[in-house]
Amino acid sequence: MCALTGAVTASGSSSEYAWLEAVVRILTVAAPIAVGVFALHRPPFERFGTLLVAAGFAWFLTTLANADDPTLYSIGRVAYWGFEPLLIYLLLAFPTGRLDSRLDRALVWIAVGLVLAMYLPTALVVERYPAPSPVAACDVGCPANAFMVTGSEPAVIEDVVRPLRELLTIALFAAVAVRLAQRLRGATRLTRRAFAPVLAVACFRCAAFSGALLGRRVAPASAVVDVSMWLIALAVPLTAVAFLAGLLRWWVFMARSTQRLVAKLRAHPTPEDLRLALAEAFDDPSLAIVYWLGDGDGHWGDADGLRLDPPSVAPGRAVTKVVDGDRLVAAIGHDSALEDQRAFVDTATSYAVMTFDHHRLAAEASSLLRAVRDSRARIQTAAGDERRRIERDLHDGAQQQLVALRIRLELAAESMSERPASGADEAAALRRFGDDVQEALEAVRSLASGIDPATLADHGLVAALRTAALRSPLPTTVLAAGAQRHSPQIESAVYFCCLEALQNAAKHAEGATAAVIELWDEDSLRLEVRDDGAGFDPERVTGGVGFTSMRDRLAAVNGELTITSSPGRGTRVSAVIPLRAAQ
Amino acid sequence: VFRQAARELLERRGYAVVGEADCVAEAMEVVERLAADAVLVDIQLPDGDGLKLCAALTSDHPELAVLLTSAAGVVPDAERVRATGARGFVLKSRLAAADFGRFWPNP
Repeated sequence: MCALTGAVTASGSSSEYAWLEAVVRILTVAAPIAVGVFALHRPPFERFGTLLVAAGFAWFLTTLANADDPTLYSIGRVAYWGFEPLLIYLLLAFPTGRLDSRLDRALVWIAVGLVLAMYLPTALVVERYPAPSPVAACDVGCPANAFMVTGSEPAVIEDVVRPLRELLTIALFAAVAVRLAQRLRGATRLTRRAFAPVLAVACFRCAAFSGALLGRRVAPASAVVDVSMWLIALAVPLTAVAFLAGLLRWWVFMARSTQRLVAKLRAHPTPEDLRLALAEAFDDPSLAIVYWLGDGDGHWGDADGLRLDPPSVAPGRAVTKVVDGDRLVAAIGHDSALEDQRAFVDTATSYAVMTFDHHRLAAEASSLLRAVRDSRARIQTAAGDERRRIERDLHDGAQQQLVALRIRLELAAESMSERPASGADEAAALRRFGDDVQEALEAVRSLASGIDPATLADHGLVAALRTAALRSPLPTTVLAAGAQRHSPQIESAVYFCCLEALQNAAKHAEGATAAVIELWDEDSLRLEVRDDGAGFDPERVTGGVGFTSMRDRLAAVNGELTITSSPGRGTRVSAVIPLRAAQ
Repeated sequence: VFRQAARELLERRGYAVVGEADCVAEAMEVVERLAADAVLVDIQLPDGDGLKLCAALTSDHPELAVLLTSAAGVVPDAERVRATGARGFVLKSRLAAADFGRFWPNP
């Protein structure tokens, strides 16, 4: 076909640039067919590719108008009349290959009607076709019309039909140009990327066609008309090339979008992170994701469970359902240009599944964690109340009775020693009883204060720790800067930890000569108990009941325990309890 | 129980025990009414802090000799004891061995 075009053009041309004309004509046929064939298997452009191939074939017929032979020339000229409605259809149907609006369909039918009513019939009666023309290089020396059946051309053709049909054609192409301009303006940023080149060329071509017809009527021999006829001819392959450029731009965009998306998303994106990242990466600001909540008879909502409407299919929008196996996970509302685009669908759906599952698991985990923490706090509070009750009982009951008993024994011993009849032995025996009572009293006292000393509740941490320090076999200093009162739970936990650490130091820290308890109040309550004993290797001593119960008591008030020690460098037990955090 | 033992102890030491109280409010009233010379105050009282009671008593009656005592735990530091205007502090378990003459006027 291309060879035929080349041969016809070269033989028909009288100009010295005949070979150049031939090459250009060959291109005008080859480009749309090649690009059309290329698009035939690329969704969603199959239909448009088919139309492009058809346009290429139709355009091939028009190149016959470059022949010297009147019959070939006439076939080319008449074929060109048929080509223009096809071109209008092609341009208005871009990119789907379908005419979506009634106005577009009406424009195509008007074009067909115009050709059938006012162009084709004249082929039988005119002597010559109008020149210059976009399909023929000849100007004045064009061959005559081979299809003329009447003897002479009726005057009505030149006087009425030609001006009228050119006026209508100019109006028609102007309308098509306006429609294409509207499409260009109405395109989203996303679609403009792919469609703008074609729409711009098409819009320019239709406007130029109107202009050229007008020019031919006003000044048929001017160079401007000649040049614009060539431009109109070249616009056909240019449309194909623009289409190819848009296609390439689109592919590059999709590949880059996938890269951008991967770069944007953190390790565990929240649902909103994902939506923003997808919207930005694929340049679709109104992209929306709704999740399917509940399994069988669930409903649509956001990832946190708030009920939402499913994404609606508005003009220019499309919905992609996200399915994991046979489980419906989500629906993504997006620009229809992204529909069925593998790069988009694959990444968006897999990220949506991952994000949603992660979000749900994280929510479940955090609610479980909250429940565990609450229950631990309740247990510690209940245990604390119970400890305080026992301590009060010991203090008010056993301790007071032992104190009274001790005093009475002393008084009895005094009475005994005053009486000469009974000996000093009995008095000494009573005093020994008194010492036994004293020991029992000490035992009860240390039991009571080990449980939860009344001092702690009445006088606070520092007083209670000072008292505990006095009783410790290891000389102990209490340093406290601005220690304030805190909730009973916190004070009790801190007291318990200090006492436990102090007992550990007294029992296990060989060679320890002193211990220090230090407290600070800032944004958090910090405590540190250190000794100058032998220390131990934390790698080899793992936990023990003491450390575990210290950690438990602290955890109930969101505190954390750190134990640092190494052989020969003493032991340091420190804890931090946040005070601002909600308890 | 303790008050009964304490009364016996003090009477044995030659003091006349003129009144008893089991809470802060009653203590204030008793001291006022009986014009006592000396008082033994437990710093852990059911309705308040014995240290505060002591401070209130000594500010009303500067000549009153207050001795603080306690069954367990709290050994208030000397400075706090002095701040309340008390003459001293003795643990309950050591009361029988204490020399009251150091804190109180002789009976």
